[in-house]
Amino acid sequence: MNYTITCPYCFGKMQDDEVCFRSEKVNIGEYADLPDGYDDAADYVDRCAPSDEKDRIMRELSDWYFFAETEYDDYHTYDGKNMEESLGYFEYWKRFGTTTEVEFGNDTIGIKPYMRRIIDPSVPAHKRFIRNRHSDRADSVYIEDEDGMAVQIELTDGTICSRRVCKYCHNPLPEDYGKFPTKFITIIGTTGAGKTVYLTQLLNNITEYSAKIGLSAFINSSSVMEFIKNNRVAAGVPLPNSTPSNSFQQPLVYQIKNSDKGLAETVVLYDVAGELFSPQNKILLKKFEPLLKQSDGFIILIKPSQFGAFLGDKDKPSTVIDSIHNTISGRNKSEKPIAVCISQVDTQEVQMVLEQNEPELREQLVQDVVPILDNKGFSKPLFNATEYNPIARNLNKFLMANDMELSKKLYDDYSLYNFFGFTSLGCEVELGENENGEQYTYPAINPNPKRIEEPMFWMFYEFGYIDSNEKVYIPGETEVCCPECGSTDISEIPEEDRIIREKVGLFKTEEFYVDLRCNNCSYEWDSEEEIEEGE
Amino acid sequence: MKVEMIPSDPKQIAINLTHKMGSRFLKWDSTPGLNAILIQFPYGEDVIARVPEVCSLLEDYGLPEGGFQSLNEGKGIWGRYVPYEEYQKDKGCELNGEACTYLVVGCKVDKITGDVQIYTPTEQAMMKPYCSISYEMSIQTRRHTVMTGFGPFKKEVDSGFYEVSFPSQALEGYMDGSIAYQLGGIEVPITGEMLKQKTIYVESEDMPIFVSNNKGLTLK
Repeated sequence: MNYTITCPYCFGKMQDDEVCFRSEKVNIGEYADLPDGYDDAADYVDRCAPSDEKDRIMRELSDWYFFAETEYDDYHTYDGKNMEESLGYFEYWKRFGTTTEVEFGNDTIGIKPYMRRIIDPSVPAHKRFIRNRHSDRADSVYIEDEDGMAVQIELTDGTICSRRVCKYCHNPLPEDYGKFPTKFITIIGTTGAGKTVYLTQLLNNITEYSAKIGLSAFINSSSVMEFIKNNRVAAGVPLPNSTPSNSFQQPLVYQIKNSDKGLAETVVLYDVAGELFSPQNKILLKKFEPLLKQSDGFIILIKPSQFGAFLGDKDKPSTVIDSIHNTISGRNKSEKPIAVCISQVDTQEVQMVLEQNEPELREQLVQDVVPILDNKGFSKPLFNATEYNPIARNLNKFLMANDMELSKKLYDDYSLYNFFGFTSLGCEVELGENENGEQYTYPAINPNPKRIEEPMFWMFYEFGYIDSNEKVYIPGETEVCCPECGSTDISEIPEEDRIIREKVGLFKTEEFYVDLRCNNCSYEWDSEEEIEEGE
Repeated sequence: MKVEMIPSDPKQIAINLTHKMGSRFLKWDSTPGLNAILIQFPYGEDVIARVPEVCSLLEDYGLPEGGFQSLNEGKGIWGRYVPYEEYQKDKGCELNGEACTYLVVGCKVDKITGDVQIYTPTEQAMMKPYCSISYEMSIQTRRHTVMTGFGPFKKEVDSGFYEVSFPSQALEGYMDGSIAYQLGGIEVPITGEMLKQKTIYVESEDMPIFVSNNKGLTLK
């Protein structure tokens, strides 16, 4: 069975039986079997006279050094490799300065993961180290899992290697990655917008949140575990530092499943600094272009101080929106869903403004997202539009009043966008000082995030993973409201049922034409008559 | 049983007390495993400042389980103990009455001595441990008449009273005097017992004017 894998780093495509592996076998230190009288391998090569014995030792040395920790993945100096096709690990990371890959958990032999030798089963010079366990398939050395995906190779000494890497850039592929369709979602926000805290809180509670929409979530990527471990969010614990704007953060991979629907998907999240989109960072932005073009959706985090209503108008959100659009769509409207989120809605400034101008919105934003339950008490795979729509309307109203430029840009450049408000902390932040006199901020109490999962739920709805319990509000679209009860839960009456005959006298009936029905109060009317504009 | 207030613990939090208009349910966010006490106060009070007073009242009355219990003989403070297991079902509990302010506090109960320690409640910018619930009440006042006479001579005559009708839904936790009527320069408080009667009669030539002494209670 063949699986097509899209690398979450370089986005190169490959089959599962084309991946490479990082060797589990690592030779550390110096080759131990040199004859006496020589200081090291170089000394032996220089001083030892040619002989059959020397040839044998040289071959052993070469094999030993093949598995030594290395800063180079220059295996393509061996025969058979298309050098134009391969970027190589260090070449890839040079663009971003340095790698952000770390080893998760106990590193039993004390070397970085990217120092392990790359083994490429397509290269004859590597193949001699690999055992072929398939007597019937001389051309394949891959070991498949129960789903038929090539996931391992076995070295001739019996060592099993299962650290799959991309065949182009040699970056790690998480376990099971490539087995299911993949969606790439980029999270963008300026420094201080709260991307890292948002992602930590989201991923830390991903199973609970996914269960709210009837999905199971699985994290099988070490980068996610490492990310959560290194960016703890808890009472009294210093909040994570700002993410450097020029580095490419490790993709955060998890899976979602819905057995009832036969749905299984891989979601890859990227943490990208909003500063990249400033006009002075055009060159840096170019490096992230492949990511932006490959992304299936965007979540934009805007901190309250970026709105004129709160503190000032520096770092305009509309600049980010503009840049994304120029990169991914040029002059056309982008079809990719974009969730525009006001983060940190629990800060004093936001609360004061909302209390004065949008008290209803303020109340809505402190509530948890509520799942829709079936008669057994399990969550249905539905986006709760009934609850979300009033929030979206109020946020749209608020943004139209406080950042018309942003609203207009979104309306002109994107066909699929919506607004969200949340708090990743849900508590106040206090200032502390460590023993070095450095100041830091920490949550005053156990964080209590609110509505951080809603943008993701909406994204899943737009991707088709889940349905919605009513029509989801679309900013900029004129809403049809029921003239009787004001509900926006409206459906069209089938053609054959649109003529209603009513008895108006003993012998007289009149015909009425109706084409819309309110699902809330069952009122029916003709849409050609005066229709109220929805907010 | 001893009841004392202890400093707040950032990891033992009951907060974000909210009430949806029209519902009879109070919801809050709680650290898993944390028991809580829900306290009802007169509307608009500085409830956090009154927690020490509640501690003394609870020592006298005990921990009210299963429902709200008046802690100060109808003077507006009611309390209810909500163990975590009970909270967990619906993430809250039913309220007592409206036109008042509720406060939720986390607590721990010593299983052996029964002593209670109440965590000092904490406020965060967006989420508070208290919420005020206002209430609109409609009071119908009409001149009361009676029928006198027999047969064809029956007629309706003024009884000399005004008939006052209160809403059929009882206002639990009502504090005597929250509503009063003014007549001839005198203000007569309406008690909870009078409200429960649903209908009272006021002997007067002039119509009694009803006023609210509770900022959370609006008369319409």
